[in-house]
Amino acid sequence: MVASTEQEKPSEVSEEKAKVIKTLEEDDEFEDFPEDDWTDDKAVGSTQHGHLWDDSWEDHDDDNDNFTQKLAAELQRNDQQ
Amino acid sequence: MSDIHRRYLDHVLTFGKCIRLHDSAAVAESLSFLDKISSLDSIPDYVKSDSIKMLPPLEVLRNNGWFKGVNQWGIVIDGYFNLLSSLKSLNFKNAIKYSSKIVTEVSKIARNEDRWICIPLMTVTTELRKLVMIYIQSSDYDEDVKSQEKQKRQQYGADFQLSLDEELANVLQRPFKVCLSDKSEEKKIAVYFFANELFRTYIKFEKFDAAKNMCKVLLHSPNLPPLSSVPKSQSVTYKYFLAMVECMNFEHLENAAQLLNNALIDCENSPKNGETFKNQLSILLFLMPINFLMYCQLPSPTLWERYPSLAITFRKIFEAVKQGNLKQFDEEVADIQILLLKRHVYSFYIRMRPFVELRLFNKTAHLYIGEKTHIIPLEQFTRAEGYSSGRIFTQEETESRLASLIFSRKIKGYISHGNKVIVLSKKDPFPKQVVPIK
Repeated sequence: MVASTEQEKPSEVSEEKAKVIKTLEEDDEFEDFPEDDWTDDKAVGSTQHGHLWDDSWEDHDDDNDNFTQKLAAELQRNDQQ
Repeated sequence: MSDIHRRYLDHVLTFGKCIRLHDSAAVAESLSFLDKISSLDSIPDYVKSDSIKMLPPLEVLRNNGWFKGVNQWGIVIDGYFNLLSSLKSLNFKNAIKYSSKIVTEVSKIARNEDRWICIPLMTVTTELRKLVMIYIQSSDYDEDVKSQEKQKRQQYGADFQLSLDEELANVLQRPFKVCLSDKSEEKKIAVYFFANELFRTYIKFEKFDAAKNMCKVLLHSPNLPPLSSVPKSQSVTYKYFLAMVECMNFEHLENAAQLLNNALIDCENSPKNGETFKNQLSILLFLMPINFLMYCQLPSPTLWERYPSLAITFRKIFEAVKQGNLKQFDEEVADIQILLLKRHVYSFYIRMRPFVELRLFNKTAHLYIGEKTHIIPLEQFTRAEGYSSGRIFTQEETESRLASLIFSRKIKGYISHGNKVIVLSKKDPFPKQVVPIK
């Protein structure tokens, strides 16, 4: 059994996604900032920056997604063969 | 004397007074033309009225007493009125010609002036670059390029290419060089500003080698002021462009990651629109794959919430990286291939694919419930590959993938081809890939 039957069939790129992709493609200039300078407390800062990233890529604690559950079932089925 | 000539004379004399006083802001304001574009109709055309012919700016300035650089300032003021006149008649090509002349002359003047000249020089430089960008986006540019290419091809042969980009870069290099080689070091504070103007131009016209060469020049330049001493708009922009150049060499990727993370930390915390937010998106487009490749960091739910356009476009890719879902990863990357190529990040996603497989193999080993959990039949991995990718895998293909990951030290163990198993190291078979950010 392979993912093409087990996993959800991929949908075509939605209209909303196509619009966003186009905007990201076209808005490729790094703009001139409207302000020349700002103080550290007006910047994104280290704390907020830290919240944007997740270090749990290698953890198995949250392996409870649909894909992993079906992978486990597939491997178990294989074991029993 | 007619009213228009009188107004012209007043204008030149006021200009001259500001220059004599070294009034940086007033001279910059007097040389600016982009902020006057919306009110051009109300500005008299001193070229059409023949005012500059009858009373040349240089003569007017000289008659009011000599000052340093007066000859060049005469040319600058003459160029400025011609520039406004060209803009009034929507002649962009002439406007660019006069704007370039102004940058060249103010650069010459700057060699013998101290720090006060930096702001006027910045104004004329940035406005020239913006004028060229406006022209390029106009329909006039397409028509001009076609007709000129045709003409020049007839004249010089098929190899000729119109090089507005090269002309612009040549002019923009002048103020950069003046500040970089400033012996008094007063004007070095403006180096990053002019470097950014050149970076924007090189990247826009895809002159990546020129951008690389400029980085080398900057790296070997003595006594540059620290980035912390210039306004954040300049330091963030500089770090972004420098990181873009560093990204071209995979061995410099860690440096690029540090520059981009620092650029984002220093970026203004803006509402979800406008230029500043767009710049954060531009930084993150690089940072998402690079932070994964360097530190195995994934974008967090907070990132997706704060940047919905990135969530719509990239969330499924990183979800696939987390799951080890090869099919989803390949399909999602294929869907946005053009975007990734246009934003110069496609190669990072190609480099991320082995990590998706690594994650899949790690899960497969973790889920294995045999007697000896470190000796796992290759069939298990072949099944996992097949399930994840949506196609049939052969055992040889699986062995090749595993061997590649063992070779790159992402998996510790060996393959026993005869017994059709992989023997994983009992200690730490999947060494931690996550490394803390320095």
